Amino acid sequence: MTTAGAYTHPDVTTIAGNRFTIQGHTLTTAVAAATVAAAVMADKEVDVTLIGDVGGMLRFPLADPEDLSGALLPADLRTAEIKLTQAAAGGTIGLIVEELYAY
Amino acid sequence: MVRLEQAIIMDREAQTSDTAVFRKNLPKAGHYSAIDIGIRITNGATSAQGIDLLDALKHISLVLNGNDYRYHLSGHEFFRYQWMKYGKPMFYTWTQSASGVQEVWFRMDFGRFLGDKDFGLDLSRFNNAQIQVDYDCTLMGAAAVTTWTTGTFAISIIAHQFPYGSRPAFRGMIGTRNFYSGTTLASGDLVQDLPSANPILALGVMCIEDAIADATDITDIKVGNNQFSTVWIDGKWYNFQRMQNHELTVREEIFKLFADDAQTTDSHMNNIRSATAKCRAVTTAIA
Repeated sequence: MTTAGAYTHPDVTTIAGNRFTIQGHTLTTAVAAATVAAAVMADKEVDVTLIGDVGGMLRFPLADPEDLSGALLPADLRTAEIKLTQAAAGGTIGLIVEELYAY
Repeated sequence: MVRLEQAIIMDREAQTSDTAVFRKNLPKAGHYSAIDIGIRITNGATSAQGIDLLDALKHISLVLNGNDYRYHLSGHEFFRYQWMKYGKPMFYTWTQSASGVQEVWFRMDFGRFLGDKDFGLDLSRFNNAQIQVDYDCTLMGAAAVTTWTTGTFAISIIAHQFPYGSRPAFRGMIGTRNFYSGTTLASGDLVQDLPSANPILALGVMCIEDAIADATDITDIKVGNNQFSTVWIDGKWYNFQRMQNHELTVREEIFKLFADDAQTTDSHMNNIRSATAKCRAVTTAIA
């Protein structure tokens, strides 16, 4: 008995930053003489798993998570600045503060 | 510890407009430990290739007394910041399947943890408290059978509140907001003043550009005062990223494509060390 039909297999071919590219292959005819055809995958549901770092975000905790000691206080912040060294154009920047508001 | 109640303020309420600033006034009284906000949209009848629901979320905000933005973050900022804070992402179904439903959740924490009796949102202290979702689905492309379905942007809001009979006397509340947005230049330093009206518990720095490795656009970060005569933070992006991601409990992203050949997808990860893809269905037959 030989098995025929179509088996589609996606490869991850390149990774650039947060972007990855997949290439499909379809195995056809008898598996005993499988031929591999490139560029024949279309409209296939594909499960993807990526393992890496959270892209494009750093978080700097300043206060103790329990007693909140170590927070930067308004007296410290009067002249406080953040400086980012830029090396390439086109990145979307967002600066975020987590603040404590007193009642 | 007090058992919190989950008050459903809105449940998957579909919006007729695909582009709007949605506003929902919160009750006049209540002691909230957190508010969860869920966003859903239905894919086109054929697929939703190349769209990311986070792109459509320009800002999610908590606005007090009309102009006091205690929470104010874009979809991408919110999703990534809470992942870094909690060590894991909030719920996000990311799928390109035909007529699939994409869904992402965000949490506004007003205390150090759920059920914190010292810090939380006391609604009675404000004339008005409003949740705003500034969204534009066309930022994901025009509605089509291969993108998203018009009129399906839906919002849920759930409050984690203290029971009426055991409301604590909060000392204050925690808020998280964007204070600067911009685009990197090819060189030079970008210097911004930090907000100074309230104690700062944590700082977030986002810099994203598709198909570009992290630490390319921004290489160094320095935080200090008095012309940096005092320095609190100083280092390379790539070193901070390694240290901070070490603390995470989830360092993977799982989603479903509706894939063609040579298809590119922009994920929410970087420094990708492993990428695997497999088809859901295999067709075979006896020859």
